[in-house]
Amino acid sequence: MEELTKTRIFQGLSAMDSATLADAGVERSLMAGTALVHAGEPADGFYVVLAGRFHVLSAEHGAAIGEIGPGETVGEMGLVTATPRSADVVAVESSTIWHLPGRGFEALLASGDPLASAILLGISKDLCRRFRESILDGAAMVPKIARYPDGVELLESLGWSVK
Amino acid sequence: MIDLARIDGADALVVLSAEDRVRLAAAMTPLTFASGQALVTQGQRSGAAYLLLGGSLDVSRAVGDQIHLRGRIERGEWFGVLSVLDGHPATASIHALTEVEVAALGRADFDRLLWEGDGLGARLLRAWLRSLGTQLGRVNRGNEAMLKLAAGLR
Repeated sequence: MEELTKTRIFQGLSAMDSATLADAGVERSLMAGTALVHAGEPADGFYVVLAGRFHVLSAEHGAAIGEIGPGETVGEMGLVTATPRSADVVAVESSTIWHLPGRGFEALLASGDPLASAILLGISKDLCRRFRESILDGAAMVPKIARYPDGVELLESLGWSVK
Repeated sequence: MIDLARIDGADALVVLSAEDRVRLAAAMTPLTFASGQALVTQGQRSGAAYLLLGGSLDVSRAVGDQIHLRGRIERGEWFGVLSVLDGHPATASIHALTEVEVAALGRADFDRLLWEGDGLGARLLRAWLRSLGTQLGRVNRGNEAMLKLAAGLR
């Protein structure tokens, strides 16, 4: 399935790995308005959007806080953490997704299939990038926050030491 | 030979079988650092991930001259993982507060576990990603608190 190798986390997969990966998951179509995942439900694997468009809805007010389209993934952290889904993700038009169920991934991992390593490395690229961006975002705010009346107290509660 | 039984029960190893631990220990190199010595320097590349076996470590991330994020690393915790995974410079400096013993896993050894083993590298990587995910959540919650204060919502 060529679309899988276009996703950011699977770029660089060989044709053989891509075919094995495609076989480990299932393709599914969703009508507009159908929820792909619900906030709070247990994670079961992850999804790649093959066609269509999804909105990520805020758990607080239900408004769209993000959009996910072809080649993008949903819920990949579900393969590495046991935490529940963090938001509702709903199709806004007729869409097609590919789903790697949690048990499919666990089978790859238990058998020592290198594909499990390739999947986790793909996830790690994205996670490392997000981690570094968050570190930089926080560091950029710190000097400004330190000038607020309650800023130093907040920073110290977060582990920052201000002279 | 590194004796990982010293940190039995640590979160870093709880996902690995006894056989995995023996093979992981064989792939790692024991290192000792004197008090005050730098293990990792912010802004520089680190070629290994480390598992703290004994001693105390200080973590410091500097923003300018006057503001630092301080932290500690506990026995049985990994550090330096991010640099091994993406090859970019370290986001913080880490110094020994006492004499420190670590087990180091170089990038080449990690790659070997990842691709030549029977899944040990993948199981280790999943444990690392789980920990990174937890840390990312903590960083994001801190960032959200700062944004709320800046917006007058706190």
